[in-house]
Amino acid sequence: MNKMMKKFLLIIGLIFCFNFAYAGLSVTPSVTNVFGEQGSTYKGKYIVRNTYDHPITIKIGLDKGNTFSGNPDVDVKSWLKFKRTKYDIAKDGQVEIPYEAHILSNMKGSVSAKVEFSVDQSSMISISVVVPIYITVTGTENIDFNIDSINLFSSQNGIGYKLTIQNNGNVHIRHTGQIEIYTKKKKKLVKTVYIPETVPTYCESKRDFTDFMIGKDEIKKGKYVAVFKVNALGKEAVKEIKFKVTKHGEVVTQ
Amino acid sequence: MRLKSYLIITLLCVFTLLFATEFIFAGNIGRTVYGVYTETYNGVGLYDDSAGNDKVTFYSDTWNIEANYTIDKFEGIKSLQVSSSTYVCFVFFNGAQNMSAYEGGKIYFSLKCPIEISTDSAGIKIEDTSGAKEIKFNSSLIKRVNSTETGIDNNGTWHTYYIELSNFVNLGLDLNNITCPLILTNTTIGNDNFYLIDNVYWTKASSATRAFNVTVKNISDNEECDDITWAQSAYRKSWIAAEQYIELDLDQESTNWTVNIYLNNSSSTRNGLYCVDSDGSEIVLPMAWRVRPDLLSSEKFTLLIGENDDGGLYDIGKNPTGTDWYTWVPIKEINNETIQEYDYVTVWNLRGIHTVVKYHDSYDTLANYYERKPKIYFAADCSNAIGGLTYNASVVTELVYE
Repeated sequence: MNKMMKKFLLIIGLIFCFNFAYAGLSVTPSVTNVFGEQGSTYKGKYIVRNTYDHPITIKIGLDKGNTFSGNPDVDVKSWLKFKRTKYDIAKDGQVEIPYEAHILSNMKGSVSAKVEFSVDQSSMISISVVVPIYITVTGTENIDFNIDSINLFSSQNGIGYKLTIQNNGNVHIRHTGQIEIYTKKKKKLVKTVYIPETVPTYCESKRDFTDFMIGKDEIKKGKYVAVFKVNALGKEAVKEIKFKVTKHGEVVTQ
Repeated sequence: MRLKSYLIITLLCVFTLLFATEFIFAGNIGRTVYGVYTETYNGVGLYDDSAGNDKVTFYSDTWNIEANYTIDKFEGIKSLQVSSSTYVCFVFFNGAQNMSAYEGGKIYFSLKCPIEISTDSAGIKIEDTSGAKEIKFNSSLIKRVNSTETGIDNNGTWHTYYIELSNFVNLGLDLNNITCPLILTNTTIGNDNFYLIDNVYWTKASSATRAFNVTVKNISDNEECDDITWAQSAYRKSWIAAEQYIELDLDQESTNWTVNIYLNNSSSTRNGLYCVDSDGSEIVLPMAWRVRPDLLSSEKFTLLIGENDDGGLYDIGKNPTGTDWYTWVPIKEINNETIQEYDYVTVWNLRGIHTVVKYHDSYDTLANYYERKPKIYFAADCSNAIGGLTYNASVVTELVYE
């Protein structure tokens, strides 16, 4: 091995110099939903726990989250106030981090922020935890969503779906719902399938949700109707799709 | 009748201890979220038998109980379908377990319960070495999530419930000597009907730490370590994997999270290891990542990386359908707003771990499914490496909630 090679290997060996073998961060709560009137103030706190194998310093960063376009374009820091942006936390220790969210008099619908807790150290790999704060300005909500489209597809185990939710309102929604699968002309209910709550569909946007719908062994060759019912914030959107199952179990939409 | 039921349970306990030899469930006791039957939470999940089939170790007087794939579930890809039964037990521990860490915590479960089930007679039990303690379906101690309603609703739709474990303790349950973490009793239904149960887990008290943990380990021995290094053979070679990986562990109850990985090298051009040469010019060694579930002992995989003409990176000898099955992902420099063809930052979310990109952009549910903490591996294109220089990179592992 020549001299240059040895030198290179030494450096490569030091490319990443972590200061930890084990690192972790715990932030509670992970999601904050605030409901308040214009001009009101919400006082909250985060609990951040250090599960690194040594003391750490965390930094707090703020970024704009999904916000209704009818709101003034203001810096997040103008309404979301943290007294400090750095905290030292002992090994296995935790800190309480207070903040205030001021709901400005001209805010409408939903306003949100992303709060980032990152570990301030010189190591090459760092951890950050990003948690949202969603403000819903009560009295100004417009809840307006629908099912934009439904696509069915064949999978190894059966039939899956891609559901696209269109949220035209000014607040984010987290939907649940169900799919009712009927035989042709809705003569007989074959199956009811639960649609679980997952991530939100933000205001003035679309989002796709993909999941399984029915197993291969559960549905025979024939024509069917699937009725999708989606609920959020006390409202329901309904859309149906007709489809055919071939003798090979493939789905064909009509 | 009651005496008969207890007799059957006792006999089944004996049967279980005699014939059930492998239990992985107890190994997860102590986590903030202890999964009894769930696919949502890492580090918990279903029993993996020797044939590679997944099963949950449940016991019932009817034995007419099955994991219900793809059909109707509350979470993951399957629920547990149970026909009429005197009792259904989820996991008999191979010896009593100390679950006192969950004092002040809760047991959660999601249930789709038909009207035929009598909420007066059906019950939920947790068993210790002195016997089972029961709370009836119609008890106000059973709380419904996101609702002020109490008790099990037998209206045939999914609901999620929880019970404060202190309620069982008040009935005499000894958390230091738990033998079965959930039993459903007297769920009598018609012959052709069934109920579904899903997402059963215990949680610690709300004051307990819900953590996102990252550990650096050697590939060779899985021991914790401090540095990531490349082998001597990396010099002037193209894509070479590092000798270490980082292990992810998310121990908390949530369904709206994503783990991302990216570089923050404070420059749009530093999409890898970078250094500044003596003449001020910048040298960048592109980096890539891939994620795998924790491997079963019988599984092997190599970290030999091939590069296709279009830049796609794949596992040499493991490409199942052709050279477009790319498992390695170029790492994104967060300051570079240009979206590259295979530019992904998402490593892991509720859908699973991000396994393959390009035409087969897909997620593997295995990491959420078994006790398999995802591992992120790194590679660098060392073909332009020059000796005598110090290379740096700032890799961010980010947990994002929505």
